[in-house]
Amino acid sequence: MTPDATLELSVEQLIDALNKKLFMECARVQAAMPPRSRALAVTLATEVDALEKRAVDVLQEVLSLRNSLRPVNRLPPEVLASCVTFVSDTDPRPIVSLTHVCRYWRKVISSDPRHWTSIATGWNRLASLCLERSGAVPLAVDITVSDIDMNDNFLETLAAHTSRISSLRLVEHSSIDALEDELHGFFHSPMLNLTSLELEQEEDPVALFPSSEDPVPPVFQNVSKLESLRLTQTPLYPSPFGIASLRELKLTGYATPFHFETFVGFLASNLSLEVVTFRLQFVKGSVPVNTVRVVSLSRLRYLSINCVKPIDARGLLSCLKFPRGVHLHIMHSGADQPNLLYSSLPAVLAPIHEALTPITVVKVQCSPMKLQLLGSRGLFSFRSAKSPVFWDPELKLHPIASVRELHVGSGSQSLDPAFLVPLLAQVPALETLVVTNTRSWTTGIFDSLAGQPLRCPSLKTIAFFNCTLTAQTVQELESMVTKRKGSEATWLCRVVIVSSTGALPSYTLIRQLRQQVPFVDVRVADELPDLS
Amino acid sequence: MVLLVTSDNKNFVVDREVADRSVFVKNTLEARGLSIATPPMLNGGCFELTSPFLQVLEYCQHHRGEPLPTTDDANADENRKRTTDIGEWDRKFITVDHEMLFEIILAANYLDIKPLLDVGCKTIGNMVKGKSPEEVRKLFDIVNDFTPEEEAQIKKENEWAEDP
Repeated sequence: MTPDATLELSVEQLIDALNKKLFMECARVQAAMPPRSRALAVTLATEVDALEKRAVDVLQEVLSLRNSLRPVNRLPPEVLASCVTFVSDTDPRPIVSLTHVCRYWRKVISSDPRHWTSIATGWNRLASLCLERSGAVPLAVDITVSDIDMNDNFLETLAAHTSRISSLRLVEHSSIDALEDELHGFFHSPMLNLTSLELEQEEDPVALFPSSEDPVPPVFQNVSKLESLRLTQTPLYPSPFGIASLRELKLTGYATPFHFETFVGFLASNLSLEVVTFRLQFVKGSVPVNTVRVVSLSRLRYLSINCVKPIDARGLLSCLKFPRGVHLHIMHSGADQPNLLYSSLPAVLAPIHEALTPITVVKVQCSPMKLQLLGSRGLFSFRSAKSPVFWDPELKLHPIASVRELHVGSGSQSLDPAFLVPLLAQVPALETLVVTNTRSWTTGIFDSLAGQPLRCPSLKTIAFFNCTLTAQTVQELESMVTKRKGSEATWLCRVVIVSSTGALPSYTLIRQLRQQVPFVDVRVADELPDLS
Repeated sequence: MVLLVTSDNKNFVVDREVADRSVFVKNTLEARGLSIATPPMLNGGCFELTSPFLQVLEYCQHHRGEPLPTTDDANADENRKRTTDIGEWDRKFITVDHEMLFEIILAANYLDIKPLLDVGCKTIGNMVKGKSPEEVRKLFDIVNDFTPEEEAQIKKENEWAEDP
């Protein structure tokens, strides 16, 4: 090779040529080396590999040590895990991402089963990861039949964990023919710890699981701890079956009329029910209006009826017997005849009139019109799309002179004094006034409470929930407190201001109010505290 | 009134109602039948205590008189955890630098002031929500310390999470 020829080689060609030369030299040396020396070279190479790996490990450990000195990683594991609980309620994907931050986070988050208790169809291998990391804690499972991948063995994998399922939601968006066997097998696995079951069908109701030999669907056969059953457009099966632990029943979304007897039959088989909510229409002519009470739900605390026809509510109430103190919520969803239920109220309530008196709490919402009367022994609620004269003395429903608690709201609009002031005049025993979802107050309401003759002399507490309280409102409130102090009224001693969104009056206004009222409770919460 | 002494020997005299926001202090006072006590000797040494303790006291003073969460009410605890909303005052209160935020959380944890601990944890949760691992590392000055084997597993998990 001449010097001129060398100049014509590219860098790659040169490296290639050198590599070939090096390889040939190594092979020549290895061939010339005695066998014992070759074994030594192999051993040395292995040791070098091990040292190299150890060096990598040490480097990782140094990095981990460095991380452990960072302020965030000084948080105890349980506190860091708590922070992560606020990142996602059910979807584990954001949580998986956080396990990739560093080793400490991975260890803390992966080993806390709370983050891995939600399982849903469509997650495939992520569902397996959740099952593994959730250990033995109860699971919340969400199955959408149309999301099940036929090749994924989702139901088969989950079937091994059915005893851990505490909450199950099953949504059927499409035909389940192809999965019928798998679903049948899944629901035949005992779910001994299932406490909440939600079944939803978005198409016309079809019998989900029962067969001619097996009239009670398998899903209801092994659920001895079931407490809550929520059915959306899913049939209640004609053959009555009872679940001793059942506390809550909710039926919604029924497009087709329901057989009254089926519903009452189900109630009669589940006398442990404490909360029953339903929105449905009974099949025409199936509601007995003047039947004697046949079902005694002795543990019932809350019954919410949303009927298209008042006759349905009336028929049902005449068939039920429930304890004193039950909260009864009647809603009327027939928008075309907003006054129908209102004008039918005396007849609807006739069967339970005795249980409803005396009324001690009134709740009124102006938009949409809603009226609730809560007695010491019961509650009824009336709702209408329009705003009729809400307090029509001609109806003579119930006397309200004994009302001690009044809830008013205006659906995020201004509260009209022409609506509230006359009502305040009818409730001399009032002790607590609760105002909800009101954008602003207009002058006159507080004035009416401070004028002569003195309204509501026993008023002790005023509570605001999700209200916009301006400086003017607070000044009016202050002025009212000052005036009432000079009268024979009970000293207004408590003002509660609660917002679920964090929109609270300024600190200066609160401080101003605290100078006049001994207890001013200001907080962010989803609901009012117990005002009693 | 209650006398509280931090581990760096600073004295704080506070109303009993304010001190009782801390379950730790409340229980200590009740167990010893004291009206004046010298808890809490926080596990100091890592950081100056007076500064975060002042913040904690400010929080307790602002929230004095509010009902304390009960430990046996599991549902209330779940509801409390579900919402990530933080009240306006609390949000302003907790808008501090990272170092102080973590010290407040540690103090709230040690003193057993659940509402304050929740505010701190929600703040951290809101800070990391929607961020990639790399963004979280950058936020808290953390380095990637995974081994190649762990990296391989993480890559797999990412594929599962991205394409479920």
